[in-house]
Formats: sequence, structure tokens, C-alpha cells
Amino acid sequence: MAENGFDHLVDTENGTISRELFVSDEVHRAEQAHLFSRAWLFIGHESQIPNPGDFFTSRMGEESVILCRDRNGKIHVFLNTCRHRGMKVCRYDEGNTPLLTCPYHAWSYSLDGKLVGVPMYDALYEGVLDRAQWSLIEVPQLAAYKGAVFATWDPLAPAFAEYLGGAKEHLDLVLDARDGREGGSEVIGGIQKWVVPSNWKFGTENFMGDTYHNVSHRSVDLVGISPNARSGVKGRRADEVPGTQHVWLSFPQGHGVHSMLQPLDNWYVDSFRDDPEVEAYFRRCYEERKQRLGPERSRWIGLVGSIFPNLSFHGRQPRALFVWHPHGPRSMEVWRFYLVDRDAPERVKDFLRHYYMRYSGPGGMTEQDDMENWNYATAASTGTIARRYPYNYQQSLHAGVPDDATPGTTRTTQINEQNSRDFYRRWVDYVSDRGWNVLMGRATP
Amino acid sequence: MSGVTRFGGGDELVAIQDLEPGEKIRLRGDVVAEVTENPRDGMWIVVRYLATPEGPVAGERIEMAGADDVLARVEK
Repeated sequence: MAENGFDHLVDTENGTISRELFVSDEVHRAEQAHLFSRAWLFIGHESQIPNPGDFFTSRMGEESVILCRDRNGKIHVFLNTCRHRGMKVCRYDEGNTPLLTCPYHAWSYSLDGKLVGVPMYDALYEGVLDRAQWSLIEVPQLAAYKGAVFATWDPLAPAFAEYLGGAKEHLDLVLDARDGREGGSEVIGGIQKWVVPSNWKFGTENFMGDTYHNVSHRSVDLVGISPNARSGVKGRRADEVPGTQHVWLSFPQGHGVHSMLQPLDNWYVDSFRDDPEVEAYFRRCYEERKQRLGPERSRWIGLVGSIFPNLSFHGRQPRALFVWHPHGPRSMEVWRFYLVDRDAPERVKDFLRHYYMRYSGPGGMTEQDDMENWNYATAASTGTIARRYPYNYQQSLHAGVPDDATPGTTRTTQINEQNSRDFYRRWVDYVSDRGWNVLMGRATP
Repeated sequence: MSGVTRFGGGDELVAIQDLEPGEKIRLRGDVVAEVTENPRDGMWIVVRYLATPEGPVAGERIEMAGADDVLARVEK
């Protein structure tokens, strides 16, 4: 495969994608070498490390990294490996510590990455080991955006704002407080983590606007998962203002979103009838947001989206960020970070926590549907015969039009696979090790 | 590089997580030091050097001392 490159695996003109993308070891190695080592990746949320000494172990591709705050309050991301023999210097999910001490030989690092402790240094290393040269390996670029922390291993990668491009407005719909204040969100509870026997790209694609798969969640709506269900309104999306336009946008950087544009004359539709106090909170937030953002901007409501390559989000409830960590070609580790307004009443937070668990995560009702689809799609695509036949991506093949508001962006207003096609077109540029001009859509290969 | 071939903690095996700030200890290299901070991770303590083979330490010299560097408690 490598001698032929990867272009032949992705045919976005005709709408076919090879199954090799989802099962091949060779593709997986190329992703690690050229994609996860260069793209901006989501690491964690600032609210997880509010104090000096706080840390949270995360991942970049398949490698463990440490997100931490040093004693001066500065945020860092380090590769979680000792410079002596490579042992993980941090084996906890999260916590607070003045030092990261390797359990193997006890080389120890302060939270700004400096090697500050070498056992028997005077006797064994004096005059030979220059500790300043053996700090933890730190990412060359880091960006904290409205609480969300991103990093890249590529010192030549464009600044995060450019990388995010026009998807920023839609990521804002997740990260901003419900009343429209910028940021103001925090991660609630622990991070749900679980392994799914499926390629990571199934997750990214599913959440960048695959509305076509709604049929697989039909049982969830029939059972009544929404916070209106006990009051008789069962559908998850029964709270849309009539006349709302669904919009799918695919951005040149490889991101894709599905958001809603409400009519100018819009109003709050009850969404939490099962709890009047929670309903009152969201009603107040809706009105304040309208005032704060103005009638035009406040029309946008975020549904789902994916930031290239492996961060996805739910814009409304259950509001969350989720990461699809590769775990070999046919397995991924899913991490889900749930968000709430930092200053929301405890009762609202608690209500949402229960709703989030009911809806999402390994025990959530919709996620179980998704996992089952991805599991069996992967299993059934792995065989020698199955791999000869590509997947079909022809849905709404020519329905997308250029979006006037954001150059290079395609806008579609019917259910489509445009976002997926554009994602895979950008994906092939990464694994083919093309330059940033191509990866940012400034040039064609 | 003297004193690097003897292991096992020297005169006694000191569980350094139990050391209290203010306790005096003897370190590898004939250093006498006072514990100033103990994160109780069993790996490291922070000490103030009091004396080295060259004599009493003038001024304040704060160092980290690893578990294998701590040889014994000094009699009070």
C-alpha cells in the first residue's frame, strides 16, 4: 500500500472510502507518524487543574502526556516518560503533587518539567550529567481556549486560532456559558474512559454531522430519554423552534459541524419540564444570551461537531467534549468530558449529571447504540474479502455550496456526507505528510 | 565517588516517609542535614545541609535527598 501512497484509498469525487482506513496496520502507523504528531490535539480542560501542582494525565495519539500547572500557575503539557529509562513519571489519572518522580530510579521533575532530583547525583553524576538538558519533553506549542487546552508536537504548525478557523464560532457554542458569557464552563465529575473495538475515525465522523444514523437511536426516543419525557414529550429534539434551519458546515482544516440556525423571531421552548427549577434556569439563560449576543448571533444553537482530528462535541445537552484516542487500528479509547456552567446552581448541575449519564458514556442509552454500530462495522470490515469493497459516501454528493461567511467552507442544508468526505480528503493529506499550506486549505496538493 | 558501592541504607534502613521536619540525618558522603520538608512519597525529602566533610555549612544550602542517600538518623 505504501508504495502507492494513500490517495487511492479516498475518492471524494465519486464518494467512496476504502475500508483499509478503518482496519489497516499500515494506515494506523502513518496516522501516528504524520497526523497525531502534527495536528493540534485536545488535552484537557483548565478546570481540571485549577491549583498549582494539579495534574491530569492525558494522551496525544497513543502516547501518554501530563497536563499540569506549575507552582507559578503556568500550564504545561509533557510527554509522560522519564528521560533516564522511559518509565512513566506519572501513573495516576489526576491529582496534586510538587514533584513527578519516576518509580524506576527516582529521577524527579518539578511541574515546570525541570529535572530537579537525581539520586546519588554527587557521587555518580557530578560533572557529567547536565540536569538542565534532561528536562521532561514538552510540547512546542500549547493553547488554552476558553478553558479547553490544546497542544501540538509540531513547532511549525499554524497558531491554534488559524487551525480552528471558522469552526471557532461553533466550538464556542459548547464552551461558552449557556447565558452567552465567554467560557465560564467547567468539567463536572470524573472523565468517562472506555475502550471500544473500533477505529477512532468512526467516532469523529459520527459526530461531525452524520444525522442519517438517527434511526439507530429511535428506541431511545420511544423509551423517552429527554428531560421532558415524564411530562409526555419523549423525543430528544422535540424542543426546536419551528422554522429552524439545520446547517452542516465543513471547514478547510478538516473540521465539520452540524448546528441549527433559528428563525430571527425565536423563543425558549421548554426542554426540562421534568424539573421546574432546572427549566427556570435554562429559560433565564436563553433570554440573557439573546440580550448578550444580539438577535443575529443568538440564533445559532450548536448540535454536534468534530475538530480535526479526534475531538468531538455535543453543543446542547448533554453538553460534552469527547476524544477518540487511537488504540491500535481496530480499537479506540473514548474519553468524555461533561461540561456545565461553573456558577450554575448545584441542583442544576446534579440534574444534568444524571441526564448526561443516562444519555451518554458507556452506560448511556445513545452511546450503546453507537458502540454497537461501530463494533460490528469494524469486525465485519476486517476480513480479506470485506476489505476489497469500499464504503459508500455518496449521500448528497453535490448538495454542498460555498459558504459566503467563511471562505473555503462548504455549507449543506440537507442530511449529507459532505463533512465526512471533506474530513477524509484532509485526512489523506496528513497521512501523506503534506505541508501546512495544504493542510490548512491554502493550497491544493 | 566514594560510598557508592554500599547499599541497604547504611547503619539502619530509614523509612524516609516517617521523617519529621527538624529531624537530623546523615547522608551519603558524610553529610549531616536537617529535614525541612517531607512530601511523604518515600522517595524524596528536602533537607538543609548542616555539615559536610569540609566542616559546618555556612549559609543556607537546601537540597533534595533521595531515599538511597539517607543513611541514618542522627542521635538527638
